[in-house]
Amino acid sequence: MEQLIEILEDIKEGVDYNTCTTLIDDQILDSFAILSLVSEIEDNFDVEVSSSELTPENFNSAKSLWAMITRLQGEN
Amino acid sequence: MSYFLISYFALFLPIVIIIYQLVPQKFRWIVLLAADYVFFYMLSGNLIIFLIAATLFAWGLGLWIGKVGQNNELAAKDKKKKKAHIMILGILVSLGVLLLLKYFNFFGENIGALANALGSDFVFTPIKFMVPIGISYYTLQIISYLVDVKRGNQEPVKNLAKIALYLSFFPQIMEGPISRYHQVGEDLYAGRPITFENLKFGYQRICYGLVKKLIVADRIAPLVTKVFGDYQTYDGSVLLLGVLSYTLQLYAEFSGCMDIIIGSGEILGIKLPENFRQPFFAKDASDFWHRWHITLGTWFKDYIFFPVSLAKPVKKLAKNIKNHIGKTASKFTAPFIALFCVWSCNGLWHGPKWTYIFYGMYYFVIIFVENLLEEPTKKITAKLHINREGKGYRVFRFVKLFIIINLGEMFFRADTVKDGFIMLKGIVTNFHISELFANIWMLKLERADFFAVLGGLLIIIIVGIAKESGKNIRADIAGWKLPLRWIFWYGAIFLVIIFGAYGAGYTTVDMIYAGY
Amino acid sequence: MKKLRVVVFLLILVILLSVTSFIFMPKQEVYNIVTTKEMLTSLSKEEEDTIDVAFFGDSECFAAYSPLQMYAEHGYTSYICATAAQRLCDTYAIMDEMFKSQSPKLVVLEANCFFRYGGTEKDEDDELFNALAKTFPIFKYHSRWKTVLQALMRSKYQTEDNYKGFLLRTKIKPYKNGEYMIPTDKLAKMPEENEGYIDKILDLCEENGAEVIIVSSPSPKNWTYEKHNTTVDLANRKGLDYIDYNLLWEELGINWKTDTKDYGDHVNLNGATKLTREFGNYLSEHYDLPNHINDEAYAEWTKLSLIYMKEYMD
Repeated sequence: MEQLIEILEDIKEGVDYNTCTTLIDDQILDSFAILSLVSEIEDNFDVEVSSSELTPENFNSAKSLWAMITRLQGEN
Repeated sequence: MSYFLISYFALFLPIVIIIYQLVPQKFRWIVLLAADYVFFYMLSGNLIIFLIAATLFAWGLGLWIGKVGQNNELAAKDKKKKKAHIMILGILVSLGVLLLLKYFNFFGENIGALANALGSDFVFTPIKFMVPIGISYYTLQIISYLVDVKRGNQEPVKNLAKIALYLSFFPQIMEGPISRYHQVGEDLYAGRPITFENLKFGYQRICYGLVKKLIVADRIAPLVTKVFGDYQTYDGSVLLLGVLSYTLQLYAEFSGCMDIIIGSGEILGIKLPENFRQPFFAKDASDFWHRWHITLGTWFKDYIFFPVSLAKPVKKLAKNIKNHIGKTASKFTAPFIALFCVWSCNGLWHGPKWTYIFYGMYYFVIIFVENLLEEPTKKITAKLHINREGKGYRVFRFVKLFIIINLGEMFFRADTVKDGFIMLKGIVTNFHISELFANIWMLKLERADFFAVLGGLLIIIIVGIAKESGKNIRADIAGWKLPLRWIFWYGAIFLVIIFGAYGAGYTTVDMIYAGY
Repeated sequence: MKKLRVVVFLLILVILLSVTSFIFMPKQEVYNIVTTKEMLTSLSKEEEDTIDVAFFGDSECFAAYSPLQMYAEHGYTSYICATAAQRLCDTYAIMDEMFKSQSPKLVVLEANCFFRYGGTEKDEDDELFNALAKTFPIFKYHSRWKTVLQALMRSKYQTEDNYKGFLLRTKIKPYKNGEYMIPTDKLAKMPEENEGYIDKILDLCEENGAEVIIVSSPSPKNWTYEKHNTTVDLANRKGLDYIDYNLLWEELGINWKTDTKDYGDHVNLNGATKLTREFGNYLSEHYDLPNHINDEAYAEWTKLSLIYMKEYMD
């Protein structure tokens, strides 16, 4: 989880990722940022994120992102 | 039938509302579906068969994908593969019909021209197709539904009526917004009673849409037609006025139409997705497209941009570039390819014309460069101690974007790309403000027309600023005392009745986006 | 309670629609009440039966012919009954009123008006709309707000000197695009209803014993060879005289660098002087018009024309 927050801060700084739950809804992450995020997640956590995972439910908060990562790791 | 005709909002819509309200809730979806099909039939006649076939097709494939998902004899991997195959079949067929009806002649002519250039004596004979209205819109809705079902983000819909309602809702069939099943599908079937609030706010929104369309867009339309039609004869100053007027016309027309559409939906308790969010307040071109024709942009993002970026060959390429060239180049590989696909499709979606493709490529280059330069400019502005939120920078940003938008719309409207460049050259190299004054009364508009357009524009700007600063205008108005509120209402109604450019002496201007 | 409110709201709406309809509906078949009324007021200041030639048309007409110059040069009187963007229904209304106090021998029609829709408002194709417009004429006549705006903005013209309807302008804005009358056989389209209005006007003239001549004043911005052809055709069918000065501007000696006030839309005083001289000659040669110069009854005309000639014609 900490690693994820670090990645997020690398992509876009100045957001409180521990509390923010509207990363997508409030367009804090644009599509370029989402792409960088996906590729970082894939490299760092050794999972494969398919386009069906790119939903606001998964990407709106660090917590939901983390849930997605652990789920994908479980599927592997 | 067009949403701007008095027969729509003063006759068709009220009749639908009354019948809808009189029928028991359980059967209201039938009223809605009947209204949809009557509306579609009035526009496209027998071509309604395309819509019905597409509806059955989308419904059947959705169920099929669902069935594969429940088949426990298949391994997970095979299931996924089979679902993907069905989805691809669905996309190919619905896209195929669209391409055949709308683009066959375009591709045929260009292939023919290419073949001739290469020495072949191939002659392409164009075929005249009847294109059902709204096909560009409902096709995208079908694709989004099938993809979502395949991805597992959407349960397959068993009830055929629900799919039929989703694909044919009469307010949105002509110009969008492009909705997703999860946004409206169930509401359309629910048949909830019409509330006084919805009726009031819905008609309020329709009224505002009419202000945009009738007072601004249609009144300035003759000028735009004249300038773009005779562009060779005009000085750069007149051409610039024509270009600015077209941007205004397009915005007033398209967003005004959305107000009517979303207002109509609101009356019936359907919350359609918004298509505009004060686009001229955007900070750059990417942001502009998050605020202009929003539902088309998100559709491209979800069904082209991300899938292409995350596709295995693209990822592989990015990895290769990372190993051989460098990290930065690799970072932009996937977005480059995906953006190229998005903007080619965006251009083509507007119609089979090179100007539209050029328009798509124009935004592809601008948005890609914008993203490329984002980091460097941040560093430079920080070094130069420029406040990126300061007034000066924001004005600069606005002017830059405003030029980008107008330049884009100029090519969008021009007959050919070459015409667009001739106009651009005229504006840059042959600009004499005196010529504007010399010609201003020859552009089909009277002094009074200009006053009306400027007045309407002022209303649009004020409402836009209020919305952008987070004000809820309709709530504010609802909070006024009754006499004041009613005066406002009557004022708004008579504003449209008196100052609208409609009736005799005005040719009804077709809805621009209904042609796409 | 809410239902009652809706009913009251709609009721007031209907009342307001009726009231505005009453305001916007033309009381007679006149399109521009403001300019028409202005014209009739200034006409009423002329003494009865003193006008020999009456001009009708739009701005192309009142910018181009100067009655006081014509009087000084030929001795017959004339009056420009043209109004801005005159429609043929307004031409008829003004003419009808004029014949009650004046008996001109000759009526001059400037042809530019023929190509503008001649009635008050057209009907729509949409039947439902027409039905609605019948109940509440505001829907048909709503565009007349422009007339009101015009009235508000025109007040400054009211105090013009009395040039007998001629609008004297000395401003120069050159026209530079060269020859604009490119010969062709094509016809310009005249709004369908207009021939009916022209017939009505011709009948009115005949009843009142006035001859009719059609004229086109030079205007590169407004006139084309197509319009010329259509007007020739019309004049032939009605058996009327027609002069098109757009084909003769070189003979008139018009110099587009100095003789237009607005880039070739209208002639200015320079152009009008040349045009008036030529057309004045034509009229006195071809029509039997009196000379009042030594007539005591026309002393006022003589005085005005002398002042005018002294001021503007050296």
